[in-house]
Amino acid sequence: MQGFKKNSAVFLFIAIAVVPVLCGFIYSLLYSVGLAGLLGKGFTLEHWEKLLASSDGLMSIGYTFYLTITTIALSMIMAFAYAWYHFRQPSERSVSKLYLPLLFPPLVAGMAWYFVLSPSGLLSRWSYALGFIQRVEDFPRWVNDDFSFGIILTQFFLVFPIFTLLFLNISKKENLRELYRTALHLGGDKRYFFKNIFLPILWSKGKWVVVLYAIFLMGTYEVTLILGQTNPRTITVFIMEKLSKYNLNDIPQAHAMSVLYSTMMLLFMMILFRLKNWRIA
Amino acid sequence: MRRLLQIVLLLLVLLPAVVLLWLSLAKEIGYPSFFDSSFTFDFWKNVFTGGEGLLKSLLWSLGIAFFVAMVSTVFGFIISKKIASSDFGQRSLQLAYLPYLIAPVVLGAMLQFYFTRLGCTGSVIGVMMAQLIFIMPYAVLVFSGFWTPHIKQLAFQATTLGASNYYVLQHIVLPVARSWFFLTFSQCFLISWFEYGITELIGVGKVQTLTIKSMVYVKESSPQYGAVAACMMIIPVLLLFVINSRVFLKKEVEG
Amino acid sequence: MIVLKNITKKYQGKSVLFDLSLEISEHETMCILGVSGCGKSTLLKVMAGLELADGGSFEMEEQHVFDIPAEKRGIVYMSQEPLLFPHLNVFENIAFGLRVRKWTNSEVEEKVNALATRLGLTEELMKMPHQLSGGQKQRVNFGRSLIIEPRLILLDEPFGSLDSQTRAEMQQLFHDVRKEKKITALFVTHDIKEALIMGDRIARMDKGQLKVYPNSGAFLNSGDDDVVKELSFWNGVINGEMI
Repeated sequence: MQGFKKNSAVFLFIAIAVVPVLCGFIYSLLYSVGLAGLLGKGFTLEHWEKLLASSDGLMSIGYTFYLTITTIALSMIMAFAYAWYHFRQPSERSVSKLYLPLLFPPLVAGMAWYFVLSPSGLLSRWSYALGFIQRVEDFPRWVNDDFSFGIILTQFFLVFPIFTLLFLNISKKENLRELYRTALHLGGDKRYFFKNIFLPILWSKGKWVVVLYAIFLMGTYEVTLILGQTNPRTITVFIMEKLSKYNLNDIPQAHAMSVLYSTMMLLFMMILFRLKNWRIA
Repeated sequence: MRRLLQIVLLLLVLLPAVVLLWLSLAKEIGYPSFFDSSFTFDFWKNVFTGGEGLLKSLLWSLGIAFFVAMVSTVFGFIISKKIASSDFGQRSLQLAYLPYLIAPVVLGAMLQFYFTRLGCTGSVIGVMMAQLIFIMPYAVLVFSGFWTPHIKQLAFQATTLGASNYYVLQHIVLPVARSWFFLTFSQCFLISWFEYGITELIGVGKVQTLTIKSMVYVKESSPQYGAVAACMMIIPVLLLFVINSRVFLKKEVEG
Repeated sequence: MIVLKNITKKYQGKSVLFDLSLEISEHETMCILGVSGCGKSTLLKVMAGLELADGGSFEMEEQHVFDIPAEKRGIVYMSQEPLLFPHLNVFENIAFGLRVRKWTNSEVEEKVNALATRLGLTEELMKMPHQLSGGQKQRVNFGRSLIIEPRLILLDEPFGSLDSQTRAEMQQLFHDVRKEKKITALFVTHDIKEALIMGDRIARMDKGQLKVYPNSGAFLNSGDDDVVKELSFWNGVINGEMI
């Protein structure tokens, strides 16, 4: 009893962090198998079959992964490159501009890039003024397009500065400049240092932030809503669309997708925690 | 090549700000006008004279974000203190990531039923409750960084000098935690301030925060008011950023 | 008179203090020597009220100290880190204990100024802790403890993080002030020389148990391993064998 009293705040915290998630998960699970909701007529796997058989649902999952992996890979490569460039030629002025994107909420970033990239947007107007295009139709399609260029660029705009600042911070904290000098004294060269010391240290210290941002991108909603196509769409847009449609038959699919997505993310984290190199000390 | 990359990077970070400013101030935005634009403050003035309901949205957003951040910060302080002195509390901290792991929007979708049952959908209270569900655990996570062994030792030092628990809290812990209060409050404020998905789901269009209003402008193709709303969303972020770098980071450097 | 009887303390089933007994007379400084992890810091924490003992008794002037909350024991704990309150200047750091006891401003001012003069801190009173050197910080810490005239001061390797010159200065200062103010103290260190300078009596702590020597001479003649090593080193230096 005394132990309970002593740890009551911890239990309260666990309750607030876990109970809503658990309740929501159970309700969505019940809804997806016909045991809850307006149209619930008893146990059925019909909605799950519909979700897994339709290209619509599976495309959403694949599309979400495509966007996340592309953005993360691009942001990481550029952030590593920038950190290395800055390591070789430090300049506080060049870093300061990276703080500007941090002021943009995802929704605002989505809106702003829409106004920059759309056929009647800023870049199109500049191209017209400079004589690169003659009509608005000549401007390439960069928003609501097949390759999701607009979404990837916007997400890159949001994530790249964070990764870069993170890597610069790690490089400073881990005293990489000193290690660089030591590596050169010991006969290593620039290339060897980059490959065997610089990259591994930045990655090992920053990998959890990268994973957290990947998870954040998987669940992002506003950017893909503004800049994405009707089909394919991300998991979050899929769920929201099915939920808010007037067709009540679509709602169980939204819940099935919510259950599927939550399970996927939980499994992913559980596997990650079990991997030796990913354990949190 | 390096110079070109620098220019591309500069454009990348500046273009969104330029376009928002231009749209919020340009009188005419018919294609292809840009360099010949004439400017007006009419759209901004409209906000402060109550036109378009933007002022109301701004106040709702401020109110909700302020309340959610206040409650979360106080909760974060109290609970993180208890967790720091608990036997297994530290391990439970990772649970704060759970709502983010499954995405706030998905969580909102899964919880909508309960809010409907409680009669909270379409109300400000409902939106605040929904936001608190994922912002409160986050506040605990942020504040847990404050309770280092050093802080515990400081508190104990004050105790051995004769201070009661309340005196230690009032004269040692709270003043030392000032920058952490600011950090936690501002982060929680910003999460709430940026929030769109859950507000849309639980507010069902009746709670018109600035984010909801911005999206309405995008859907209605009213870029100028959309840009004004977007600029208004950036202002508090900028303010918090400046306060943090001017007041707290400066103090930290001195410390 | 301070009397500790049969103190025991376990951490996760492992004995840190085992049946430990100790007596300290009024105005006496007892030095406890011991290697890292021998339990000496735990003993101080138990006495100050930061940790609870599993068994035993602790009496001070015939009062059962374990029944008194930490803030009312009149026992001040000084650690290796000076732990100054970072948001208070030197004056307010020293005055802290008096403010807690609700002394008037003029009384606080008078007492702090007098003590600051004795400790050589007059020029530093308006400075913030981050503007002080390591030695100055420890002086402030010392002043903050002394000002409330505690019944007992517990010093947990307080000069351990100082350079050798500042350390020697602080040892001298503490030595003089403790005589002057008739302080009762328990001083923990792993440095034999420091123990000899600071202590009226010396005790050796090993595996949670304490061996107390009646005076410095008895300690030096005890055949203690570290004493033998230290003495043979200095004999070697004197006889030129080490050069």
